[in-house]
Amino acid sequence: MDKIIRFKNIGQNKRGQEEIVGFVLIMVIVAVVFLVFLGIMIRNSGKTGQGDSTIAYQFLESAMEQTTDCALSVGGSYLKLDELISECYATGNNCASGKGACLMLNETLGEMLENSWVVSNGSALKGYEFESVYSFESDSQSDGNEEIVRITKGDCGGSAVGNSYFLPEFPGRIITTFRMCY
Amino acid sequence: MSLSQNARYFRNSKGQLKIQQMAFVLVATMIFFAIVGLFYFSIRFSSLKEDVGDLRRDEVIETVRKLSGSPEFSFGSWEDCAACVDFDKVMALKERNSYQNFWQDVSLLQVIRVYPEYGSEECTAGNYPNCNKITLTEKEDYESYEAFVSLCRYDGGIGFSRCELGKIVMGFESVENG
Repeated sequence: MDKIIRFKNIGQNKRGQEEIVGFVLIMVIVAVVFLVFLGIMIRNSGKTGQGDSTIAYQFLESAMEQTTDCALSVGGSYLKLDELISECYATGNNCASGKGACLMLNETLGEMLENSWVVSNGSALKGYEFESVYSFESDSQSDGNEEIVRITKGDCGGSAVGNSYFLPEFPGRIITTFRMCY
Repeated sequence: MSLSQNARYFRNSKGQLKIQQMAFVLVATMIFFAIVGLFYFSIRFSSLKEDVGDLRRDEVIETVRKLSGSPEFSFGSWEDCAACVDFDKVMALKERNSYQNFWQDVSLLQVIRVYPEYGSEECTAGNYPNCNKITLTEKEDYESYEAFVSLCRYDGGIGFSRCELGKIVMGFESVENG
């Protein structure tokens, strides 16, 4: 009888140990799955994130005050960059020198960006994007965006920081965005 | 031992075994969640130091930019341009002896024109305004920060004020980490 009871006890202890081993195995599998999920989540948030940049906003705000070489009439005052963007969108007129406002805008912006931001294989900055878009929203659902100027350089596939600057242009507004890519 | 005593003994043993199992499960579960939590927080906050550094740097850059609003730098003709620096005023400041010790707490203070660039580097009375840089003070061993501003001056050629893209560069004594 004692032998039978002892045999039964051993069977029960073995079952208990099996349960513990099974439990530990489940915990290990759950931990591995969780870590893999966490790794994927962190990797994805790093790739597509874009943060606001103070220096990008300062660049946009200061660049908009740039006096360009475009005057609408001989002897008239020269347009600032923000006025030139509005002029390019609204009318596309020629400057007093004969050059088109949009052409002058592209040239001025291109040179300004070249002087301000160094993009090369050895630099931390891998690329940049400058874009001015007219944005219009209305109740009648006829809203949309119209690109005014867009200048890009380098590779903007990775993470980026940037900022936007808004100009009023009735009935909508002009949104100028500058992004630096690292 | 009688049969009933044996049965009672084994029932108690079984109960104790179950309690032990449950205790082990609870302890193991707590340890598991503690390890998972440790992993999560160490990964989540690994970039915290870098983020703090970035925020501090942004703060310093904003402080540098605020210099453009000080009476020595501000461009009074355009009241709605907070980031406009009077380039003529800064050039005059460079020449004034009374301002030589004004910047003694600052290791570097420069105003640099970014666009358009002219041939000469440092501005002097002879080459102004066809120059790129005005240095108000420069010492050794500094960590510099720069902020974009608009450099404005009166242009006699066009008879109006002209503004150009520039930077204010400020340098502070670098502190060696112990």
